[in-house]
Amino acid sequence: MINPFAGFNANLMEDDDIIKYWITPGPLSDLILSGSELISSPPILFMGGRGCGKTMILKYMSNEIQIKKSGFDGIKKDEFLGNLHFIGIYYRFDGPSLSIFQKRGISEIEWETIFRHYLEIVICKKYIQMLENLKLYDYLDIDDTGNKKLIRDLEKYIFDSYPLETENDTFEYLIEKLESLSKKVFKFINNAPFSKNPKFESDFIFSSGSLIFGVPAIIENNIPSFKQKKFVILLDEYENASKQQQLIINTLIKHVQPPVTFLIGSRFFGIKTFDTMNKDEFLMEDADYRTISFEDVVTDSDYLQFIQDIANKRLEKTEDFRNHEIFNIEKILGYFSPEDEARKIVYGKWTKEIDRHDFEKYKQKKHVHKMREVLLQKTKKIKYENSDDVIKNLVCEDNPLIDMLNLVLITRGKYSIEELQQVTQLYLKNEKNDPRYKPYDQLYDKNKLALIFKLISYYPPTQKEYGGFRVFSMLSSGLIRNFIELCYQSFKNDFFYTSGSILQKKYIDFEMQTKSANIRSEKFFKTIENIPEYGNEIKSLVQSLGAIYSSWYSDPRISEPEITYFYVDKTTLSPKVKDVLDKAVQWSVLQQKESMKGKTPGDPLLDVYVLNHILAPKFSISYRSRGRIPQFMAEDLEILIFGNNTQKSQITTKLMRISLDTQQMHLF
Amino acid sequence: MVKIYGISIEGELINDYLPQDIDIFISSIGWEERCPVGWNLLKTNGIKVKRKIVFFYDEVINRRESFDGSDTREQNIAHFKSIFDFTDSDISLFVEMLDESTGLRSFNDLIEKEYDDIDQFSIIFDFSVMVKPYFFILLKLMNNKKIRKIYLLYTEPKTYVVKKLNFEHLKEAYFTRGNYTPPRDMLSFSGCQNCLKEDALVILLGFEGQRAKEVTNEINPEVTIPINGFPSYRPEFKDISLLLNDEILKESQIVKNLQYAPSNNPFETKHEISLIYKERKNRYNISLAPLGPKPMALGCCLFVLENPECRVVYPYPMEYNSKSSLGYEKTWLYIIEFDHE
Repeated sequence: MINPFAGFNANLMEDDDIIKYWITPGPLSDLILSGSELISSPPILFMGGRGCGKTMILKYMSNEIQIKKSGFDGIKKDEFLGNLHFIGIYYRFDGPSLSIFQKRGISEIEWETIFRHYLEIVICKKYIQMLENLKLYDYLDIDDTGNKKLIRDLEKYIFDSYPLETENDTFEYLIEKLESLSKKVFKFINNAPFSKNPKFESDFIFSSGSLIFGVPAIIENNIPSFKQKKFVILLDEYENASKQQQLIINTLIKHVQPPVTFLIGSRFFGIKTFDTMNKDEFLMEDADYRTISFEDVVTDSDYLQFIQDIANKRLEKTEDFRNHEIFNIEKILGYFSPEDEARKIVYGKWTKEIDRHDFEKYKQKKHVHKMREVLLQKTKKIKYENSDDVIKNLVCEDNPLIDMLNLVLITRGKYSIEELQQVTQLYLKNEKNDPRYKPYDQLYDKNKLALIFKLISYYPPTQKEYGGFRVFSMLSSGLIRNFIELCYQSFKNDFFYTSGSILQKKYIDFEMQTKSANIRSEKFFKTIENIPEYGNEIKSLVQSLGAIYSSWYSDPRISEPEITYFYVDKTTLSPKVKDVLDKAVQWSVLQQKESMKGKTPGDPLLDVYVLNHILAPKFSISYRSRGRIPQFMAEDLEILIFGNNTQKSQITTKLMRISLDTQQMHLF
Repeated sequence: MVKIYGISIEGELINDYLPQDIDIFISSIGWEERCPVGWNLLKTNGIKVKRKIVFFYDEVINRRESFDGSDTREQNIAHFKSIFDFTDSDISLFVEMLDESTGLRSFNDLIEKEYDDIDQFSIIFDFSVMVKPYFFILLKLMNNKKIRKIYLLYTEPKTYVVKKLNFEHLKEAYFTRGNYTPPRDMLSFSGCQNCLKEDALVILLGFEGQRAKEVTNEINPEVTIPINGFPSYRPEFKDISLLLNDEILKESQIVKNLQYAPSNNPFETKHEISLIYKERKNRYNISLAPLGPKPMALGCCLFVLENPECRVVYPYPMEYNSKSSLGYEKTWLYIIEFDHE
């Protein structure tokens, strides 16, 4: 059976698959479909975490996909040209290819010249291929004479010559000529290590922007329907370009010439410099470029709808699921409430309501034992013999989370035991008019997920469940690829362990989903060490953070619920620690959120870093950003990243919430 | 244009195929036990070598490795010179393992200085513990120098370093730390990329699945063709490699392309890659990632020498792993003949 979620990396998708699985993210529809934001604004830096969907969007905007899609849909020339808002020219910065434009005994200045020349050739070839594609699909509104004139104008402009033979009046011929120039670049690069004094030579050496800006102007002059249309150069994975290469491209952005504009996709912290080749100039936000951050634009509710649409479309496009009319990911993954999970923990099975109330049996439950122990410790008035009467008023067999909330409140000591019994009873009787109802209800609502973790701690080896559509969406941490990977793993496990019973049942068991979430979490964790430069340091930091966060979940007072983030004054950090944090954000291991104000007015803003929620199952922590550990000091962070194992262990222990309930975790 | 032909011969038959006098023996040092086996084989078979040129990697000689932990750089140098029976005419080239351009320059300077007509000399080249970018670039240099015939020696390891050989512990056992650079083009093997073509990636699978995944992510290929070593040195290696590469093989579009080539036969690997190339060269830029056993990597190298428009990508290790293999098994002789048209 085909897994509808196999293939989650847009990089690896064929054009047809991008068209097949495409869903327009609502808030970005203006940018993607009409390009209105591109037409009216300076070039755009499109930032987003790894796997958020940038590549899919940029590829979708490319002329290759747009032409192909219109061709599939049978759209005629007039309609195509009428709806044409912009022409997207997609180019991805392939890391290995870019790395060849350096060293080999050649000066930096010479490499700059070669790279500029090569970039001009690449984009120019892309322009001409776009014309060829349009011609192939009969979307070019010029006749044969116009076509010949266009080719001759291009030839004249690019090579300062005219084709000698009339049969050479083709786009293919122009591409071949450019290709021969490109081959010279590669030949030089490949042979340079064997030469004593390598010197690059070519019939033409293009200067910066000469073709990138010049060729669209010629196309615009020759093709009536292209007048007033923007040529959008879609540069993907800008983070792969070296600083020197970014300087060259930044200069093009600074001096962009209509009808050309840029839409540049990059991970956070992927822009290595905002300088240009001219030492007196740099890129100024709003004047020279505008930033769109995927995570900022796509809000939580948009995101939920977006991933649902993506998943449902994949199901629809997969024969087995289409034939069985299983199209709804929300139904397949389902939903369980914290109360459902609490009953599962205490009674060992998923149940909406318990079969029979039996206090004598219920009081034997481990968490109720704990409550009795705490009660007896806290107040001398309660003796063991009469403790049942008190406990009866503090527990709810239908909802063990109430028991847990009361256990926490007893520990905190804010309510008297009598008062707590009364509030519990009025809450259970739903007496909303009582003024004491609301604060208790708010307390319950705010803490119920944290209470689950607390409850689990009394029922080892029970593990936190990570299943259900909403939980998967939160685990994905705003990154579509994470969500698709979670679905992929769940479907794969279902196929493997139940021989694909999903087609009959139309859902996947929560346990199976939890198992899958654990696998994806572990895999994500494993990949961290492969991050170039600081992989091991980031992994070590994550490991420490996981242990620290996790320790706070057994805090009997739940003084800080659901810890998943930390904050730090970045200005106090060493450059190396900053680099590590930036790299962790670039690879979406940490996600930077809106800065917080310091304790006193005038304090610098504090930088907030959330651990990617996909790691929640790995460390048995929450998938929400609610709680934080006390502010990190620069030296603590330095040690957690670069210290030796003993030092790391000391700092980790210092920051852990150690209670009598928990044993210290041994990390290293 | 170059055409390469060759045969593989197992250790015991080496004497029948090698000339009794060899002008140059090229090798490199490493702490793996198989390091001197090729040289010892020549010795025991009475083959005379006029000069040995051995690459002394800084990373290897600077490493405290031996016996009582008191070894120094000088002692290590002496140790390796002794295992290769160095005489006054032999040459040690001190190079950085992670920078093959230094090795290339030293070697090139040496042969330009000492040999006017290198193509007239008989050369034997033991690449058992030589890092891949080195033997790639050295073979390319020999090709550029119009050398017609090279004898290559390769000694199989007995096993790779493992803690436990069962499925549960497999990943931990084989999963090396992620100290690799992002994948980059091997020096002088950037091929000729046409930006209008899609990319196809041929991965010779090794045991480090994460490296294969990183290469796939970096290259962004429309098509990925994994080649697994089969028959492998040991029967279980074939399956271990599949299990450890599950992250890329889970993609149905990739696993359907899975091919096999014998781990110890570069010519079969080269043939397999040639078939893939013929089928896809018009539509794709072909990139190759030689992550698997060295004889397969040699096959890849020979293929690229014949087809220089293809590129080779490789995530470079950032630190030397002195214990990557244990023991040794058969030694193979590969005879390569270049036909420079």
